[in-house]
Amino acid sequence: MKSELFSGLNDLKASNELKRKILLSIKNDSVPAKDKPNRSRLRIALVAGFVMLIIAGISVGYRLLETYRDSFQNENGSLVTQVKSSPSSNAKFEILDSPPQIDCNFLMDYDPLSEGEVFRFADIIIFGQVKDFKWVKINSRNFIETLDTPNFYDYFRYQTIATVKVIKAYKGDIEMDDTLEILLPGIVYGNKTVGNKIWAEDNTIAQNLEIDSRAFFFARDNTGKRIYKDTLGFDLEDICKYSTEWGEEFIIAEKDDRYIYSGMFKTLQSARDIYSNIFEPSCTLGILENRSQSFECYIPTATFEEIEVMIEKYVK
Amino acid sequence: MTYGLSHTDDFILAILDKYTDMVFRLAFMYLRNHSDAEDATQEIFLKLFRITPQFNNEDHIKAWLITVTSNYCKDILKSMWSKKVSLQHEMYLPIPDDNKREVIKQVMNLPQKYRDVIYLYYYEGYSSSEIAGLLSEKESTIRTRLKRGREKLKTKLKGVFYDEE
Repeated sequence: MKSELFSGLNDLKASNELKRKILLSIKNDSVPAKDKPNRSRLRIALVAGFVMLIIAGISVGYRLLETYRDSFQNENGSLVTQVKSSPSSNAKFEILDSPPQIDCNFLMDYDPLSEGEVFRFADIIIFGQVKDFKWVKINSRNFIETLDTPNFYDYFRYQTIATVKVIKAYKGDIEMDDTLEILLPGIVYGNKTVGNKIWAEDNTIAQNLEIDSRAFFFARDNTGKRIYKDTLGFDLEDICKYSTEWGEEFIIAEKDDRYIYSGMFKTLQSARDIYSNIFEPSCTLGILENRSQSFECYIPTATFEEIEVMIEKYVK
Repeated sequence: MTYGLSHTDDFILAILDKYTDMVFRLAFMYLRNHSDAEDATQEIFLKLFRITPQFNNEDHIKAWLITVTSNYCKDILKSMWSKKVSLQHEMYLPIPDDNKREVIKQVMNLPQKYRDVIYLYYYEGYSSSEIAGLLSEKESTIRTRLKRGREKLKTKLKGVFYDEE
């Protein structure tokens, strides 16, 4: 055992009653598995048949949907934006005026960038005020198929587009009063339909943004030299000129009279923390379960001046 | 040399005494309630004695139990989702010490992908490469999950958690 901190787990153990029950079950379970080959084969055959039916159904359904969408687009002008850079590709995204009524946390293992890396990554650094939100529904079929484990229920992923008016520009070809659209990862509800803050994995700071929120954004220019090729077959610039990689270390958001930030900003570490109630949707395998809860946590905060001192350290 | 499993009461009891708590804890880490964790534990041991795999040593038995428990619980969670079965709202933790209970409560509130890794690393004492083998994940994935899990715990348990690495 490595950590005394987790010694509470010593008290979490199986009851003697359970052990007796298991012993009894094992003794009563006298039929060895090899005596049940027909049942197993039948189950496997049933499952295989079912899977083949599903695959065939999805394939036919998808083709029908494609046909329908193309014709819909031609006749009516579409909500679905065809990919500009790769017209033959199936990859599409759809701009939504309302946030999706699901919480599809985009689960991804990522290692947060260091403070220096964030400043190198950012083509623009601004302090601005959020004026509006839109959402984008991205067909992530191609991405999902590259996962080791097929993840059919994450067929689409959702991101947020924040319209931001620049109050102060620190880096990049941006000026005060410019209005930018910045693609944020995951769903930011922006308090439009949901009263509570929604905690989303790897998106903690962005989740606090609302209409009129003020924040520092460290964003990439998707039309710049370092062109980002999405695995979905289109460029991010098709959706938005600017984007942040994640919702943690690329945003420092105003909260009350201070600014909340990701803990990787070492320069700000002397600043104090604030105590926050966050509404946490319980997710299993990326799916929102109907058993959400509120939890309390500490989020590090800094003052506007402390953040500006840090920015000046990197941006001359 | 391989270890075969005997079906004598003494042998079964010895195995149960040694590993039931571990299997139960790991199942609880995934399923977050007693009833489901107990059902899972029973299923795992039934499977163990039903298919009687050959083991190289006792560590091998433990590793087998961890891998099978992990896979079984993930299947259960998928099945719960597909059937839209809601897990219990209240998570009862029979830990008398308030501080210790709070720590475990915060661990249990982590997303599932961090809970199993944190448990195996900090409680069972496996290295990240061993956990990668047990859970069939890349070592870099496990390291990232450990790092992220630690960060989240540090936030939640400010002043209590410290990194021992």
